[in-house]
Amino acid sequence: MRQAEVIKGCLKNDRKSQYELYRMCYERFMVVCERYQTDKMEAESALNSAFLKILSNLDKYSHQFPFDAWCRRIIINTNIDIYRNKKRSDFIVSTPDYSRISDHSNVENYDHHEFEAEDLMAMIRKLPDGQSKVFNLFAIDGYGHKEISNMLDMSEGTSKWYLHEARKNLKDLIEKSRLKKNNPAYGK
Amino acid sequence: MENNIDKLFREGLSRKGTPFNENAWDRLVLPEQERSRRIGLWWWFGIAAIMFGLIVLANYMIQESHIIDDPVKKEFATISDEQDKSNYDSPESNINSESSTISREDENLISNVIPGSELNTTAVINEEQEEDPPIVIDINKIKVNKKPIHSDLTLDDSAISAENELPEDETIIKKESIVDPRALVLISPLNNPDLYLGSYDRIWDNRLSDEYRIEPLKGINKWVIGGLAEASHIGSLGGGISLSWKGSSRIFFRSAILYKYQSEDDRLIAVERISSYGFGRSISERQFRSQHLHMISIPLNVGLSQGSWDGYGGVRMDYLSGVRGTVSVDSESSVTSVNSWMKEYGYNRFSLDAEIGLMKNVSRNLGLGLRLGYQFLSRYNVDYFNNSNLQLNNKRDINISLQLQYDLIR
Repeated sequence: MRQAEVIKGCLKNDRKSQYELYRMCYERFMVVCERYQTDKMEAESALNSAFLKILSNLDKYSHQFPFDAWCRRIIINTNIDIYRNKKRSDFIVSTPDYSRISDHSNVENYDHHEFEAEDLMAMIRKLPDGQSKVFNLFAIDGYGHKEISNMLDMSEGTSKWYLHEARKNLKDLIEKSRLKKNNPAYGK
Repeated sequence: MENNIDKLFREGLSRKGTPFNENAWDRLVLPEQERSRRIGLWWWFGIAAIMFGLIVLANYMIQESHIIDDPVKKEFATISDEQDKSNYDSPESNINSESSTISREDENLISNVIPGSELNTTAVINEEQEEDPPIVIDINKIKVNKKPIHSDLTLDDSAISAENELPEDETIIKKESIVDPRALVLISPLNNPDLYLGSYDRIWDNRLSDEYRIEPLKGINKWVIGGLAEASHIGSLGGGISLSWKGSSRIFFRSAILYKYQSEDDRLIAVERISSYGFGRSISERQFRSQHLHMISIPLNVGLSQGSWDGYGGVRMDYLSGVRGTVSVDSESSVTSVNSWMKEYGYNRFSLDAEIGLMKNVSRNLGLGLRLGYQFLSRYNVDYFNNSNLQLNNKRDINISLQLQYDLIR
């Protein structure tokens, strides 16, 4: 079924079209939810919430934008909403000025074929909540620090600090992973 | 210059695809399904309200049927109006002969008026006779109480009484069976297995439930078999069969098999979060739990009656199966409102409770009781979706319930 037909069917509350749309969302965006949530169950729960939002707002979708991008934005926002509700009280209340921290301090080259996607996902999940959310939003989903600071209710400096820390931690995790691959006895 | 770690993760993760999971679709309840589920809940409330109405109506009708038919009323009214004073002093004096005849209709009346054969007669009813035969009553054995007989003769326990001079087991006017509708109102804490799954659940479960129950009873000698239908305002509906036996001494035995279904939205624990963030945007989220339960209970009780008190003790076996989930409502979030139903976990439980209870009949129809239950054996099996099974054993708790019982006929 073509995407336009699926959308049209969903607008008429056609169950088959809704199923098709859900299937499409699942295959394309489950990976996004998995990046933001701590396990598959929570990711699925987030995806379902996001899907219901997509479904109930389908009439507001403007065809001049790519449908995938529209869905992706809703899915990311839903994940951030869930995170913000859960962890609102855990955020740093007073933050030092991290605004001078550079975003581009790392110059080492990495080959993405060196690691499996599952390994990379596991590394992101090992990061503290704030760091993983900022890293996901900035490095993978392409949001700027200003947008991130609005979404996560923090200052731009704090967002930069989280990104800096996330990169540092990920670098360590990559090194450890490399050592483990080269020397299976590592860490035992 | 783009950071290499960022590139590594972006490109590495772009290769990852997730195969579709059909179960995820099954767990998703779309808004229209959610609406129909809520409409379904209103049906439960409606059924509970109808049952309550039926109980009230049945109570009213039974009270109406206690008024004695006109011909009989006239006959007794003459005595009560003109000769009641002499009746008090010497009840036999106003009756000319030692024997009298009464119609079968009157005999039925008396048997209804005085349950338990308080009127001792030597009457022998010949069922094969086509016409109503005269029934011989030994008038000497009738003792009229020295209390005023009401002229309208609405049935009042105090109006007429007679002493039973025959042995307890001897039934004068025998009937093979009686049918006796009974209505009960029970108020007790809701017994819920999730009581043990965390403090959050404990708050959710600690509250009163009420049950409205109708029991049509059929008595055969000392055995009473009852049908049972019950409903509660929280949305449970159930039914079953009860069996009880009452011995010639004051001992009784009771058992039953009951099935109950409950569909429940628990708005009492609805968690509401309202928070503001950036540029005056705000989010409001409400969550409440919902569950569907199937429950089978088999109580076995032995008891003793003493005056207006009934004491009993025994065991109760319960099997319960259910599924529980969360309904969340978001508003003013980054997009808009949403309703969703997510299954959280399914569970089943087998448990064995010891129970004792005491019931006091505070009036003719009203009983007030207290029941103590202690769960000495239980086995839970909780299946968190997409997670491993969790088994909980022998979680013990004392259950105290207050029971308010109202019988239509006693």
